[in-house]
Amino acid sequence: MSFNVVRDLVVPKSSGKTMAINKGQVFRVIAHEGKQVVDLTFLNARNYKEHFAAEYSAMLNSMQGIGGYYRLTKLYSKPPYENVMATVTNDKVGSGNRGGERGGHFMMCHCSKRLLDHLGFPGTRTCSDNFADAFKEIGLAQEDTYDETIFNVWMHSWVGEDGAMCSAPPLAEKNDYIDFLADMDLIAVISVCPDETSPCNDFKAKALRFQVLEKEG
Amino acid sequence: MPVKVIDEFVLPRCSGKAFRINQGQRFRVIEHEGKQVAGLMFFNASNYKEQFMAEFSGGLNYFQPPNLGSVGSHYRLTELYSKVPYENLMLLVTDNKIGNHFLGPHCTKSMMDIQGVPGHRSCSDNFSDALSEYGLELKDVYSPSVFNAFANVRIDTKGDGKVFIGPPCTKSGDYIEFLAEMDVLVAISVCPDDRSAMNDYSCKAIKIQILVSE
Repeated sequence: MSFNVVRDLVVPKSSGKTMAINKGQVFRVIAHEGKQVVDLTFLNARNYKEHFAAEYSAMLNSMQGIGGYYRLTKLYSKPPYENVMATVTNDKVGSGNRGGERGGHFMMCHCSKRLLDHLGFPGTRTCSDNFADAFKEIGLAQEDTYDETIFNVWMHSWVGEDGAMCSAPPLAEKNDYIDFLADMDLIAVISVCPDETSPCNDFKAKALRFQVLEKEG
Repeated sequence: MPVKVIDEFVLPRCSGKAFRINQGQRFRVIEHEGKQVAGLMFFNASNYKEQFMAEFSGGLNYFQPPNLGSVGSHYRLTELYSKVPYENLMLLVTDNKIGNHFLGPHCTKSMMDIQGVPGHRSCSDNFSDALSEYGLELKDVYSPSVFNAFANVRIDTKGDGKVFIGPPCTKSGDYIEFLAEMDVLVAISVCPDDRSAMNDYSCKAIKIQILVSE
């Protein structure tokens, strides 16, 4: 099956953005310059209270043998909705093509003001700032949104035996991508992670490319 | 510091309950019969939009000086924080007889479907009952992740990051104690899952005590 690109957008490093994706369209996230994490969440375009729940999806994928905290196949919305919002149809990293010991994504938290305070980098831009900017595009304030736990694409982190939060540089190479097929009309909310203090983005923030694809004919 | 019990009650198995704790008060979640998980949600009592964030708190505990992990981790919290943009300290864990707990999703309708028991009661039902007393519903709760006290759940360190559930390592009388750093609304689900090792395949009661410093 062939696809037409109906939207093609490079989102600059350290910034936030929203993109609308219609049911049946494919949302492609591309590692434009290589090792860079994108923090991703999704809203039901018709009811913003129905949002993607990453950790909850990890649990449901694990119970079905189709993923877990480091790789997802089905993206579910929060209770009481519990709908499949999107399906991963192509994942160059999560399928193990780039080696590594695990899926290579992380269904967990993003960086925030308080986290950078704790780490000794007060005032540094964080994913919270990016998400605040992105949500503003659709008229939402962060008091009314949930982005604390998201799909951290290419974030090669894991939970250690003792509950430690461990990180390594992303496994993704330049132009690797992941495809999400929209199972409902969605708003994708994007933070191109600005972190340069850890291995998460290999110590350098970069741009990412996003495409919306549609089946031909 | 000597403390005095000012209220105590037993929550029947498979039930939910919400109650208020004032700043400076403590409360204990006690294993009444042993090997039973209690899911905990917390709200700022004067602004229900300010809610406890489970995984987020795991990160804020782990990445703290002086040494990574000295304050807590994904399985062991000392400090419970609220969501962005608040990021306030809501509660402290002041006594923890067990050690490890699980920051993660509560059980839901879909999980019961996947386990082959559609219609089985889940923590979603318990939380809905508990929250309704305060005019809240599940739609108003941002995160499906809670503080699962006594849950013996682990995430695989490799592969897909699968979730492993073991029976709680608790016996009757074990407890965890929280000190409220603000006025909080607590919602508890006495987990009704008897289909997995979560509650050692049988649902039991949980006891709550509210305490003040003397």
